[in-house]
Order: sequence, then structure tokens, then C-alpha cells
Amino acid sequence: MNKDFKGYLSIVLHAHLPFVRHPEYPRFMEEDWLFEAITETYIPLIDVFQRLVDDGVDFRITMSITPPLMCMLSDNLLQERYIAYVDRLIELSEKEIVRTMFQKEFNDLARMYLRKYKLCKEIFVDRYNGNILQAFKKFQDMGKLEIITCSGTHGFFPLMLNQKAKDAQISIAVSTYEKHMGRKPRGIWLAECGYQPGDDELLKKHGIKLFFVDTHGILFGVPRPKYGVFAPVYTSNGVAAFGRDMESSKSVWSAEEGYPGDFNYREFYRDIGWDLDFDYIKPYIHGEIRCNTGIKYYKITGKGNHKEPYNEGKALETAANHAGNFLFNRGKQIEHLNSYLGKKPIVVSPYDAELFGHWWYEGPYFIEYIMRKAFYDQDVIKLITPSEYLAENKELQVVTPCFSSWGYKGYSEYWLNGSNHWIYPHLHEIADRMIEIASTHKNANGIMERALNQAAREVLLAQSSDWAFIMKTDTTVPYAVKRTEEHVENFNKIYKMIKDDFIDEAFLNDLEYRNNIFPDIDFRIYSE
Amino acid sequence: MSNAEDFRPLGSSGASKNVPATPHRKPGDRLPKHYGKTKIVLMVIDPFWLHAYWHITHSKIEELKNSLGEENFNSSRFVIRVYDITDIDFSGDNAHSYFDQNIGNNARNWYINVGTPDRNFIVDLGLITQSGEFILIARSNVVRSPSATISSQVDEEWMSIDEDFEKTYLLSGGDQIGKSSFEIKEIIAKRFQEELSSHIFSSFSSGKPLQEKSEEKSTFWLKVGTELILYGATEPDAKLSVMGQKIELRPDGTFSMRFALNDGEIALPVEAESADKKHKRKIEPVVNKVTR
Repeated sequence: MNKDFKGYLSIVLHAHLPFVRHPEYPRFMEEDWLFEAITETYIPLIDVFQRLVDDGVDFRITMSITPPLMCMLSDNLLQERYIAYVDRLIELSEKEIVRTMFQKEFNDLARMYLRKYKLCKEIFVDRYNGNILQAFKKFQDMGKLEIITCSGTHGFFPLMLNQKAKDAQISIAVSTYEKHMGRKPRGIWLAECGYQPGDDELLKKHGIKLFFVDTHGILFGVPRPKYGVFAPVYTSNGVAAFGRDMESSKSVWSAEEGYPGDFNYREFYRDIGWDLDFDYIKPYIHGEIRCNTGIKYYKITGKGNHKEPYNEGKALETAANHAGNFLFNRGKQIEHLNSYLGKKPIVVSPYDAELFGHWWYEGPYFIEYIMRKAFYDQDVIKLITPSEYLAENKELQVVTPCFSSWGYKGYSEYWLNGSNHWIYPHLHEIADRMIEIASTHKNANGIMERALNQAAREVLLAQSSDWAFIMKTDTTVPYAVKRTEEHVENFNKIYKMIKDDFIDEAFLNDLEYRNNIFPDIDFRIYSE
Repeated sequence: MSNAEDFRPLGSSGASKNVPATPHRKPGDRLPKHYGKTKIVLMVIDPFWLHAYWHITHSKIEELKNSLGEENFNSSRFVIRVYDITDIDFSGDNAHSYFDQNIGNNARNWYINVGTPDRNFIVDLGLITQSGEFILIARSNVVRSPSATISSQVDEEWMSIDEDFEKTYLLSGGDQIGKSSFEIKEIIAKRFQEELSSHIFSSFSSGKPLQEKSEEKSTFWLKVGTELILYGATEPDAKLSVMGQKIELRPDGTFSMRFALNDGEIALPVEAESADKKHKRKIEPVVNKVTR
């Protein structure tokens, strides 16, 4: 890299899914969230990183991989189920190659899907032996990728009133990260960027050096942040806070102006799971319920219902153009900021990882082209991870970021409104109760210790912000309601057993079998 | 998130202990109505709105009835008293200001419009008797309403002149929050107040999400696809080809293929050859698809 670069660009992908694992059923629809994300986002990203490494492209990306996602990706049952999932897709795409024999435009696409699914299987099974966390770890160990953690089960801190409950979320996040990544995390993605002043003290306690807030988290910080979001700040506890850049965010996120809406890109809503004859597609959907299979043959085409066949070559060309445009704009932005601020700005562009590939099918290629073009075609921008930035830039302003989130309207409303406010009396109570029993039973062992550990898992699972989020978005609401109710109920049952000093072992066995997140948890993270 | 539209476990026939038996119950109904403690809890929604939930135990009600007398109790009203205690060590009567919100007898939670960012609040749940006396039932935690604008505090070491900071602010995306002005507070305030109505509605609800009824679409539609199934059987160890391409037979010697058809004529020559290569058979169906 040329020493005369004008500023930094940090691309951050937040990879998260709630813990969904139902060994009690042979197949379970919501488990497909994970399998779709592996197929369309995580493996394509691994494939991109590998190609970049093979071609000698020095790149930098930051990814949060949340603790529930780490637990699912390392779980044997889900790994086996993923292989069965991708095998079904391979079988379906083979059938599609025959079925579309007289429709060349679709036949080419059926072959594309077969090629991609076979690659998924090869990467998943042959290269990483079922655990793709190893792939991410490999790129981290090479210094290309920085993996950060996230609040334990993606708990939304601004509505989690007990500091000890937040502390436990961070504690389990750090130990989960360490188990899979072989070192401690330097950074954290607070779930939904939900930050409340004071939470940084907990981060410091656990050795975490940096976190992210939304734009106004920095802009409304106290005192005024001299460089806006273009330099991180230190909180009074010496933890660095990086703010989201709005301009680069919008170019990807915005429904109207964003790249993913280009008419050449693949249309998400036309899937053969909905389009084809029921009897034919039945083995590849869920029982009697039509759902997406992942095989989609159309491009966005235009605003109306008329859709034309997808053209892979054209779509990839578009992604390359968009990547060029993105980098060009960042270059202009950074040059302007540099001359104006009199220092090298950092532009932080965070996105949900699942946007790339799952929603925006060409997204992983967009990332790849950005990395290639940044390496070969320019010398204005230096790609960097936040912890590298901190190593190069030691002097930061001390600012207390403002209470904020990156959700709708920027604060807590999305997670606290008429659709989901009923959960908080329960969530607060079980957290308080957990702290109580963890403090009174510090020396527990045997079955009592197991019960306390499971109680902690149930609290953590209930705290996933995903449930409140789903209730508000009005999709799969019954599942989110049921999960909240079940974990609260499970906790309350165990709590009573512990208070009564009588553990129903069959009940405990069943919960340990089903809700096995954080296999090595020690309930004492809740002890006071 | 996923596109999954429905929750239904697979491979289960009929009811299971994990599937709610009553489909139309309210979310959370199967959980305890309360945890046996008199308390009030305060949470932050945004710079202008807070949310409180509470519970008063039966014994606390009895205690109040006893101390006030049944008649006095019945003529009293439940309120939440919202205190601004910014920079104050609150003793109960030294708040900057407070206001009372009537909550009726049955509400269990309330959306509170405090209207001012960057202030500390605490809430008392209480009764106001007919004579105007306030009887405290429970006191909440303290919360601070978030900031909705740029801080007036400037760090001398990191100072920039106002115009410069305004520019930085805009470049940072401040104009995405409101408009390009330092009077951002007003604009943001307006943005929140536009949402007032939804909060007012939810104040009266106790856990039931508001459902918007989508208007019935009147655009009638029809889709038709045409597919052809070609199937047959030969000796299980024979070699089979369709349109010159080798096809795997099932163990019993049968085969089945399915093709999507465009308009026009297609020929589907099927050829079989015995394992010892001594015998051959060829059958060639021809299909003509016309759409009228």
C-alpha cells in the first residue's frame, strides 16, 4: 500500500442468527434460516476469501460471528442436518436440469445451482469437516479477517436493566469466542448497536477494546466529537467506539437508492418452491407448506410483476460495476474528508452479513470486487480492521456516546412496543432470579450444578433480541412467542426445583438435550 | 431473517406438547401473570418516551384498604407520578418537576411521554385520595432519556469552530436524521411526534399487537404451466438413453422424467439396449404443445 493513502475504510459484516435447533423433530422449518445462510452467505464468503488469498489479494474485513451462531455452526446435529439439506438441493437441481432441458435460459441456471450446491458441500464437508468456523478462524489467523463477538445471545442491552445480566451476556460471549477462535475477542458488536452509557465498563472488564454504535451514538455524544463519525472515540473507560457512516450505509441498505435493487440482480421472491407443481416440489419443501427452496430463476427485471430470466453473467457484471462505484464514492468521500478534517478519516460501513448472498444474491461478489479493486486499482483508501486502526492511531478524543441503537428511529422502540412489551416483566424477573440462585448456590455440584447451568441457558435464550424483533416485524410471530414463553417457563420450573432442592432429572435431561447452547457454560457468570 | 411464513414442526402428526393447543390465545398467556412482588419498572423507548410496567400484590391492596379505609380507597385513583430528577439525589420531594398520569384500575403498563431528552426520570406508582393526598405504592428505577441532538459541551483540547463542526456533522450523516441545520433538535422532535398516535393506541393495550388489515386485492389472476412426464420400464440391467443421453434406471428397471414444455414440437427418442448388447428397442414419442 502506498504511504500516501488518504484514509481508511472498514467493512463490517454482522453475522447472526438466533439459536434454533430442534432435535425433537426430524426436520424443522426455522432451522432452514441457518442452512440458507450457510449456503447463500457464509460459504460464498468463505469462497470469496479463499479466492482472494489464492490470488494474493491483501484484503481486510471485519465480521462479528455471534455466540449462538458459533454454537450452531459447531453443533454436530445441525452439521449433519446441513449436509442432508444441501444433498436435497443437489438432488433437486439435478432434477431441474432434466426438467428444463427444453428451456435453455432456465437450464443454464439449474446447472449454476448444481455447481454452487456441490461447491457448498465440498467446502462444508471436504475442506472444513463440517465446521466452517474453522474457515473463518483460518482467515483471521492469516490477518485478513477480524472476527469480533457479540452480546451472548444477541440480548438488547438498553432494555436489559440489570448490569449483572449484561455482564453474563458478555462473559459467555468471550468464553465462546475463545473456545472457537483460540484467543480472546478484541471487539464486540453490541446487538442492534444497542448501547447505554456505562455498558463500556463491562466491556473493559472483559478485555474488549472496541465496539460499534450508530451514527447518532457518536454525533450526540458528550462532549462534541470533533471528527464526527470519521474517527473513533474513547469512552471514559478507554474502550473505543466506532460510529457507522451513513453515506456508505445508504448505498447498500436503501430500498430505493441501494445497489441490491438493480434490475439485473436476482429476484428474491420468485422461488420454484412457490412456482412449481406441488407434487413435484413436495419433497423439497416442508411437508404440506410451500416455502423457498433457494432455486430462483428470475431477475428483478422491473417494478411490476413481469419477471425475466436471470442472467448470471450480466448480474456479476453489475455487481462489479457497483463495487467500482462504491469504491469510487468512498475515495471521493475520503479525499474530501481528509482535506477538510486535516487527518485521515475512517469510514466504517457495517451491514448484516446475511444481506450479502441471502437477500442480495450477488452480495458476496460485490465484496470480492471491492477487495480486488481496492488492492489493484487505487491508492486513496486503505482497508483496515478496527483493531488495526487503533494500533495505528493511538490518540483519540474521549467522548461518552449517546444511548442509541441502529434500529428504527435509532433507540429502543423496535424492541419495546405494543407487539412485544409483554416479554419484559418476565425477562427482568428471570434474570434477577438467576442472579439470586447463582449467588446462593455458588458451591453447587452434581445435578444441582447442571440444573443451574441449564437455568442460565434458558435465561440467555429468552433474552435473544430476535424474539422481540420478530414479534414486531410480524413474521413467524407464533414461533417467537413460543420460544419466549418456553424459555421463561423452563427457567421458572428449574428455579422452583432449585428452591425446593429437588431436581426432576428427566426434565433436566430433556432440556439439556434440546436447548444445548453453550455446552460448557458455568452458571457462576451470574454469581454476585 | 428468514422468509419462513409459518411455524409448524415437521414429522409430527397431530398435537404435540410443544405446540400451543389454543390457537387464538394472547402471547404470554401461559406465563405467570405476576411474580408476587409489588414493583414498578421503567424503560427507555427514545428521547421523548418511556415505558413503565408494574404489579401491585393482593396483600398490598388489602394493606392500602386497611390503612385508608374501604371507602377512601375506593374513591382514590391510581396514578404514576413522573419526576424529573436530573442531577438530583432524589429524596422523594426534591424533584425539579413532576406530573401525574392517571392509569385507571386495570392497566399494567403505560407509555409515558416525558417530552425532554437528556433528563433523568423516576416514577412513583401511587394512589391519590379524594383529599389529594399521594400514597406511594412503589418506586421505579432511574432512567435517563437519551440525547436527541448535538451536545453543547465542547472539549477544549478537541475544539472546532461551530461551522466546522456543523460540516462534520452533515458529512457524518446528520442530515439523514433531520435536515441540514444546527436546529436539529426541533426536527428530530417533530419526527418523533409524528409517531404520537401509535403510542397513544398502545397505551390502552396490554400486550395485544395492533394489526393492520390489508385491503383485499381485487386483481384476479391465473397461471398455467405445462409439463410432460415421460416414463417407462425395461430390463433392470439394460442401458437406456433419452434423446441420446444416458439415463439411470431404478433397481426395478423403471424410469421417469419430467420436462417443462415451451410451445412447439419436440421429439423424445427413447432407446434401450440389453446388457449383452444383442437387443435394441427404440420408441420415439413426439409432442406438440400449442397454447391458445
